[in-house]
Amino acid sequence: MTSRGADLVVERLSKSYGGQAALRPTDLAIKAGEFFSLIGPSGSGKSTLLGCIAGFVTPTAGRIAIAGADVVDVPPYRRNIGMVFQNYALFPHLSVFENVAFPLRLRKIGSAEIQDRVKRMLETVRLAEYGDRSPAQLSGGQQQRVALARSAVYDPQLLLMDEPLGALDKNLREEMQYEIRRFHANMGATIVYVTHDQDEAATMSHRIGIMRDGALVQTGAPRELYENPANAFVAGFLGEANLYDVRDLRPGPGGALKVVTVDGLELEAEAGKAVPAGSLVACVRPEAVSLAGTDAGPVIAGTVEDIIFTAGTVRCRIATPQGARVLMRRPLERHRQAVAVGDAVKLSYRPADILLIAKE
Amino acid sequence: MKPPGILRVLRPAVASFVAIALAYLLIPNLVIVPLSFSAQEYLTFPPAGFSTKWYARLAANPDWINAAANSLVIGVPTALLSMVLGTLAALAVVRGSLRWAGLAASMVVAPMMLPHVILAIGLYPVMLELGLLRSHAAAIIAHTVVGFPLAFITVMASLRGSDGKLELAAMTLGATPWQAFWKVTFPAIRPGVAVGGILAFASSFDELMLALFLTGATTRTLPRLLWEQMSDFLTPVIAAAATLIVAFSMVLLLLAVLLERKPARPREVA
Ligand SMILES: Nc1ncnc2c1ncn2[C@@H]1O[C@H](COP(=O)(O)OP(=O)(O)OP(=O)(O)O)[C@@H](O)[C@H]1O
Ligand SMILES: [Mg+2]
Repeated sequence: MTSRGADLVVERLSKSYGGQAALRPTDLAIKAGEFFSLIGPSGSGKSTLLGCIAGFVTPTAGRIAIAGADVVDVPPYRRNIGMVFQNYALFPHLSVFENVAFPLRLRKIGSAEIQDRVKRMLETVRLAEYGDRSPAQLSGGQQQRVALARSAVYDPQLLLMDEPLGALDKNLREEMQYEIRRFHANMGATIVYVTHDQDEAATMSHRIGIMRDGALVQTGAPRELYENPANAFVAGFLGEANLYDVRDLRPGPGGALKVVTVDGLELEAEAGKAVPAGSLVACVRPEAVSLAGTDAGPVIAGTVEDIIFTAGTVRCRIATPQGARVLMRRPLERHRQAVAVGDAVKLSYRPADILLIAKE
Repeated sequence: MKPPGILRVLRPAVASFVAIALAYLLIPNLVIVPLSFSAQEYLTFPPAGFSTKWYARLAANPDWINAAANSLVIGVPTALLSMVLGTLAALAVVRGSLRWAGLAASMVVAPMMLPHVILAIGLYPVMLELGLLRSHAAAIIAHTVVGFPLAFITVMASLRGSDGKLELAAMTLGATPWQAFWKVTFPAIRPGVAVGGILAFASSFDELMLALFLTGATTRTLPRLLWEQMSDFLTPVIAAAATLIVAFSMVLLLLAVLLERKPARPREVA
């Protein structure tokens, strides 16, 4: 059962509530079969954008096309999309089986075929034994799998998910991430997935769109966004980053570019790369710095201020004499040379890893 | 759920207070019960002797039978109208995006607070003008004004308790708004609608003031006949009729309580 996904095109789409912009004019193109995630802080307009695509929210202006067909004036129940909500939105008065059968019954499909398709779909989400239960008798993860089955049983070309795993605890969330990916691979539907969780977005998606204040700031593959963030907001939102406001750029030794930060930190960056106009921020990922070994190169001197161990990684915060903070992240194993809080250390980095990006 | 500490300490006191309050509420209604079994020809207190002849006399009198029929002919449509209007109004206030939802809700509830006599004085000339005075329709219209807020309140409570996302979910799954209402919203609010209908019926069944103004000799309701008989013949027949009205109303209220206590549970499947 591989239904082909639909492509989705959003053009100059905007929504305002009484003069307040919830979504600023936004353009977005999602390919058929793509898994696309929207992330961004609370109130940034993710649900508004998704609501416009689903048809719950009437856009103030703009155009939405699903599989080439303009849908702005099409009511939600004729868009043939699937939607999964954070709180599952299962019908409490219907059994699991009837919940999944609901969209098929609306489509006046014969009861033998309904039996067949619901059964197969419940098997897909590994709930074959649970058809007779009522939703209240299921765990959160099971309920969300029912919601998934219900939204996919009629083979919609486009599946929208608004923080579907937001209510689950971490372990269950990871299990469900896997489940949804497997599901996507089987179905082939286009998925637009809203989440608060950047790791989740990076794990699941082909591409991510980062939203802020009702605008789509940047879209791209997870790695692209991580390696080439458009601005300090994206750099800080997706993964950890050391961000320093730049005061001055000067020619440095050996044709390098010397970056002087507002904190008084002096960094060496690669010269000759295009630098955005306006205020700049220097971005250094915490895994791009390491305790200086023998190899020569630029270093940052400082004192270890804090050390945090988490599963498999060590984070050290180093304070420089100028008062800047540098976060370093290393796999636990590499941290054999024990450092302790209060040690004076030298951090080395490659000039290519100093990103000069727009502040806004 | 454990009761909070203070209530646990005070539990005997609270229990006796509740018992006294209930007695205070119920006893005046129950006084008429022994009166209706009196063997004497006039209403006296305390009653003397025992007889069921007043019930027999009640059943034999076509006036009482007609009045009971009128009460039903007026009460049932009142309940139905109240359920429909109450549900629509509650949907608009809870699910709609009305700017003045709070104000609208207060306006709907207002007739409950106003003295019925004011409503009656207002409706009298209107019904006269419409040529509906002394018809069943006049009483139905008037009682619906009083019953509709009751249904509105109970439906609003059950709507607030059900998740609006369910309707959106139904629509993404292909349900038209009409289908979403009947297949998803209505099952969730059914107890509230039923309770509202029962309360509206009970309020119509017990209502006197509007009936006095708006019904006539052939359309008079039980409370109105009771009232008329009180001024003419003070026999225990009145007590018998009153006892039956109280008993019937209690059954209705009990029904409402049972419906309300039953949460909108999914059907249990073995
Ligand atoms: N019905 C509404 N009326 C008025 N303002 C609204 C409405 N819905 C959303 N907004 C506003 O629009 C903005 C975007 O909201 P939206 O729900 O899209 O954010 P979000 O990114 O989904 O946030 P979250 O992560 O908290 O779910 C917010 O400022 C919100 O207050
Ligand atoms: Mg949201």
